[in-house]
Amino acid sequence: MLSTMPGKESLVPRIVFYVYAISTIIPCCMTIVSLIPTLFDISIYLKPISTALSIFGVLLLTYIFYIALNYIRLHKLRFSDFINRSEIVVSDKISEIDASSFRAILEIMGNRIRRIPRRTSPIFIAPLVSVLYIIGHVTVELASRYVLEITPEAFLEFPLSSEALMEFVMYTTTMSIGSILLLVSVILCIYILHILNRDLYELESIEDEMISTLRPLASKIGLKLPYREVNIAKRNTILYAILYIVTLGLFGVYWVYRVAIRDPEEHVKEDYKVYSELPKILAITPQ
Amino acid sequence: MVKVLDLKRHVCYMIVAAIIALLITVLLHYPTLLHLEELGRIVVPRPKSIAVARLSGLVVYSEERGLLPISYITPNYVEDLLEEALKENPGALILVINSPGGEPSACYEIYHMLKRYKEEHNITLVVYIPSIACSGGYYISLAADEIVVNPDAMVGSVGAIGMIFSYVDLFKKLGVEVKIVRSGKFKGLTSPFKRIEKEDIEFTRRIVYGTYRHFVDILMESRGDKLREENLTDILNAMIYLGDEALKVGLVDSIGTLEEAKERARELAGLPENTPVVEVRPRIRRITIPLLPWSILVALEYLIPKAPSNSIKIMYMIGT
Repeated sequence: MLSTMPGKESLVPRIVFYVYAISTIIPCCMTIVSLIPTLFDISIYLKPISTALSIFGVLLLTYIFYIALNYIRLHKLRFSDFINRSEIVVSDKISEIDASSFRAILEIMGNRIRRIPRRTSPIFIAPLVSVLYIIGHVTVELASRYVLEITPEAFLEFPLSSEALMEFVMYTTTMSIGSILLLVSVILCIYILHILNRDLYELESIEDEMISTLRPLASKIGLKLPYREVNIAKRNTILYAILYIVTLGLFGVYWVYRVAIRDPEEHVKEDYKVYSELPKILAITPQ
Repeated sequence: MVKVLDLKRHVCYMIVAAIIALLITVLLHYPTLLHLEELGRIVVPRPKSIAVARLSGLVVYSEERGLLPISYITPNYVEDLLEEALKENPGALILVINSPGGEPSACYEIYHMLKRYKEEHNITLVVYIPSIACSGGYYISLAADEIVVNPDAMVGSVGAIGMIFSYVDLFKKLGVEVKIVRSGKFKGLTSPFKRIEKEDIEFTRRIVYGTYRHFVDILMESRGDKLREENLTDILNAMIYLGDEALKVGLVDSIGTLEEAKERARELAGLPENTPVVEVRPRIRRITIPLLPWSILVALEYLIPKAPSNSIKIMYMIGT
């Protein structure tokens, strides 16, 4: 039974998160500092450090996403497998009718799990964040290598030469592609954080429903199935995304902490308490 | 054991991530490695403009001074500002000068830099004095084609000033004795470790009058035909004038505000009425907090020698 539970090793290690948090908070603070006019010049000198830390942070975020997404995927598979293999033990206290009604409930649970949307493989979606961010960042930086000696008035008054027009088209295209890639990487981050929360929330509610169905049967044999002390909250993605943008990415650190670190950790802890009691009432077909 | 292996795996990933981040940063921020300094250049001729640049503070050669919040006008700063102004394709440049003076060598360099700049780029140079352009501040203003002044501004103080310091009495009180060994009789002139003697005064006077003569030469070359003869003695004796008085004696060309200076610059450069006026700022901005009056700052920051060996100060400076 316990083999269906995800082990600790599949959770995101805190050390990785702490390093990620530091490497994200420092560039965020640097961005905020650069908005103060008198400190603008200092921020120019610190730009390489900020770039290095941002890229490092994004690579760590990719790792965190990969582990967290993989954890949810495995958890879903194992839970589904557990439902398929579970059978209630018929005894003098639990009748055949109870067992068959419980079997029907398990079938419904199985269907509900199957209805959770199938997500893209973590090995593809997590690195995509880094790839998009790094290509976007490099493209924007390359676009800034264009020397622009042009004002809007001049643009209206003097027609551009064909060479200058070509360069101008190249510049705007490069800058636009870079900006779009950066924007897509941010949207992808928000999407991953959203699905991490939604999938775990959905899984937990199905698990809870199954346990609450089992609870009266368990009490018949004098077994008390514990309740979860902490439940995963359904987070408002739009509100979190707004806070993420308003705080120039600082809130993102907390968001990652909640949905990729804390929530799975709490879920595993609560799962352990509940599942350790189940072999007393369920018979599980060996694999 | 499993935990240790796991930690190793995580640390390995972090090291790889750090190396990737470093590599990308180096390639991006040190573009000479990939010859990416400049991907392209989009240059479009701009319409002529009137550029306005501001010079404020002590005229000095080097910016590397104390921590006191004083603004400086250095040759490097002026060069940077003029380069930035060029990007605006100026037909005329208005320099708003607000300075009580400074070092002769820095004044000389800035004056010639401005002269060369307007000739090389065919730019009309107008100086506007809003508050003070005395001594060295006025010296650099002389490079202009025309000087417009606020009627309440202070202008003039054509002259040089020198000071010598001696620490002999101070050292005596502290119980410190200094013996000077000289290779020649002029070595160690104005040394602060000996009493101020006649030769020191004479030497300082020679230096002061030398720099003063250079100032007068520049004044005569720039405005010799405009100065009123009956006031020449006062002018050359470092008299300070209010803006309207300065106009009467010929130190400036007209009285007005910055707007009038812009109008005058437009007329002199023959630019159309709708010529855009652009404010020019240097690439590197300096943080200055003008909290204390000039005189206190000047005394603290500049005139008190920082090291005993630096005991003589020659300045084009107002009121010191």
